[in-house]
Amino acid sequence: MKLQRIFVALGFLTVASLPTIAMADNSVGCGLGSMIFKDNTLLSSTSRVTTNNLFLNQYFGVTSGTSGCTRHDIVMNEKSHIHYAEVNLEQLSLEMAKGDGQFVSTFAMTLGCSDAVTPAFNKMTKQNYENIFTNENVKAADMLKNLGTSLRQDKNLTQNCSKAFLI
Amino acid sequence: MQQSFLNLIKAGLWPVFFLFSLSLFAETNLSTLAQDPYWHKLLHYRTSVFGVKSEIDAEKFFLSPKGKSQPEEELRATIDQAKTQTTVCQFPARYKWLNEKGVTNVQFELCQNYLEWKKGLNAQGLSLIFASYYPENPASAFGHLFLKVNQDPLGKNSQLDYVINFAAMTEQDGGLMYAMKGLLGGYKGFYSIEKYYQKIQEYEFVEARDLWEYPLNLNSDEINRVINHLWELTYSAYFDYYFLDENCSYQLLKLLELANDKKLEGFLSFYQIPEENLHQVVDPTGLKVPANVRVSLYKQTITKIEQLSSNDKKIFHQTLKGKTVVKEIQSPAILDALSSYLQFKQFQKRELSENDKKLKHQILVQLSKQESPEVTLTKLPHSPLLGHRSARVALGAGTYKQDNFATFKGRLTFHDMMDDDRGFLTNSSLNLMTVDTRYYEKSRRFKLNELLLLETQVLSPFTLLSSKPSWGLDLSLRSPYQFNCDYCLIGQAKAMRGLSTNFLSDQVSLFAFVHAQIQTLIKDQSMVKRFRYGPQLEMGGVLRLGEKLKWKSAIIQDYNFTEDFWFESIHHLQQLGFYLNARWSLNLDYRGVMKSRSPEIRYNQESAFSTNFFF
Repeated sequence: MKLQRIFVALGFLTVASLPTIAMADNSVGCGLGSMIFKDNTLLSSTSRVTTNNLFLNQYFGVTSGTSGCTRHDIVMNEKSHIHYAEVNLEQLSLEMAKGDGQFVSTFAMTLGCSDAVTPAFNKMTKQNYENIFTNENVKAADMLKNLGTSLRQDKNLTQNCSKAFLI
Repeated sequence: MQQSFLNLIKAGLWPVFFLFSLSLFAETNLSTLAQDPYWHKLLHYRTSVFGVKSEIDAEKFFLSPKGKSQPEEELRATIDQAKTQTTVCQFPARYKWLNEKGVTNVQFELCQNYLEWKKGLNAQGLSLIFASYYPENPASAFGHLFLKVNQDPLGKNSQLDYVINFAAMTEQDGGLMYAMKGLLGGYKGFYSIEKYYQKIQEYEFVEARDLWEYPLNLNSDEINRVINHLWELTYSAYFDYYFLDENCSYQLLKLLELANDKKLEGFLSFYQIPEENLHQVVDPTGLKVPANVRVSLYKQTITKIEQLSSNDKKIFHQTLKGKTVVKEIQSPAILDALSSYLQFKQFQKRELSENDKKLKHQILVQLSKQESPEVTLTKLPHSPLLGHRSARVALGAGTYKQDNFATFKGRLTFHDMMDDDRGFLTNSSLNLMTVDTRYYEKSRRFKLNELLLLETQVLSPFTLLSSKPSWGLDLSLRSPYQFNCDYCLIGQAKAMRGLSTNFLSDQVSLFAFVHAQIQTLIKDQSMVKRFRYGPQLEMGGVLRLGEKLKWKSAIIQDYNFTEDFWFESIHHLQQLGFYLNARWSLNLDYRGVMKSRSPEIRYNQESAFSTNFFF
């Protein structure tokens, strides 16, 4: 067992130790690449490490840990829209501009919008895009605040998105 | 008075007798119960020549100090603690099974954390998710597997579902140490639970990998067993993580095995490949068609740009250079392609330049004022389940220097550039443990022709979105067909770097490589203490003709920086692959020396034909 392991391991060692292949390109895959760094502060020192947890922390840091999703945690329901917005701000900025898409629709779900009003929600984000993403540096927290302002002007959405009052 | 005293004794004796017989019954029953395969699954016992041992390495997972290696001791300790509420809440899968067996009668109503957790997961179904290969990272070359807990029974739109992932926690180790520890179990592996959208972010957006979702055919009892055991694992267990066998994919299979009596582990126990494990789980269900494919941002962006007209492409490029006024672009397709491109760039670089940030914002604002663009992916990637299996045997024949030979080849895993690419990374090789033996007709000798420990070559074409170099590695024993030493073998270690580009909608790839290699000659089983080193230049192309045919052609020039060992030469290699189906394919190989400075090196040629079977 151990011998076989070492034997096959030798082959992989060559891969891993070859300096030309940057191991810094860590993917969270199966095997070596799937290993998550314990020390998250590593992120700040090495710029190219893009392991999932690290990558997300970049977003988490932004709104002062409102989501606090750690290993094992099942995200609290009333905060799910915050967590979702933090992780997917990039995708949301694009889909809100289009007024359509899976991300913006899922985001509507986290705000408790009924299926029937989701298209209207998506359209509202498109129409108010400049008010929601006021400049190129808008963070998740700003986006949520601006979205709340726009959302509250729409009676239909305020009534049919059960968690609209949260933002 | 006496009578009633006797009665009292009688009455008192009965329960004692009853308890005594019960304990006798339990005595025999417990030792058989401890042998139950399900108990072994729950404790992750693995039987080997050294006896039984659990793969779980956390002490707190065992209730008995001897639990790691003694199933019966652990069973007794578990039954003993049936009255301890915290223990019961910690191990619901164990106690539910013991309840079913009539050994315990435990209630879980007071296990608030466990019940809330379970409610939060809301498991209506399970899907197996396969993340396709990631060309830039050798470690992910086999793909990755994780489980999704579906809140919708059919696993439909599900970004908010939870996923179960098995991964290792590493420390800040450098390359070699990292690899060493990973391979020999130096890191701890845990099950973790995340939202599916976090995985989507990671794979689809950051790593340019496609996600394939396969719903599993499990009933609610089976799902419950998996989830209950997951609770036991996430809270108290860790495993030593081995890259090759006790890896992510293996541990997920172990978890899935809890569902019912089926055994899922592969026929070879010392390596586990996600792609093969996917076959094992999904094939028997007959549901080869995934419920959903999430195409990587990379592919989406490429498609969006390709679908632009040539004039629109011009505007696209000029806008990126800042030479257009964004507010004047009316076409949603251009704006969509631009924003996708900048998004891709952001995920790659993690932070856009100030200029790009501003540009992206302008583009998105402009996009919000236009009609929504309609983009359809014309080219969906091939399902990994429709590709060939990774083990291969081949029978063939050929000629070499006026002698004919019969050849037998075997490969442990995984994929060769001349195998059918569908379901695999296009134009890539990753061969582990390949043996090629020959029987020569005239000389009547068996010969080891090739032994590849590892051979890999990945063409990664330059595109607008990616300018990663191609690369390769080779660790092998090979016959030097280029010169006259019929029973020689060359041991070689080789690293390659190269460039590649695609034409004609990826039907043609051209490539150029520089190889750095060190070789040694092994003659008549004795090692010659001479090494040869020097670069090799390789140039060539791969032509894909429809679904069935592939042709690769390469010219290789050898340089030699050491003296007389053997001489520089130019040789060429022609290979043809013909794909009958997922099980069978044919290969034709022809190679020859074109030019040589040394008279010793004849104009040797070799041609061979082989039939491949994948299993």
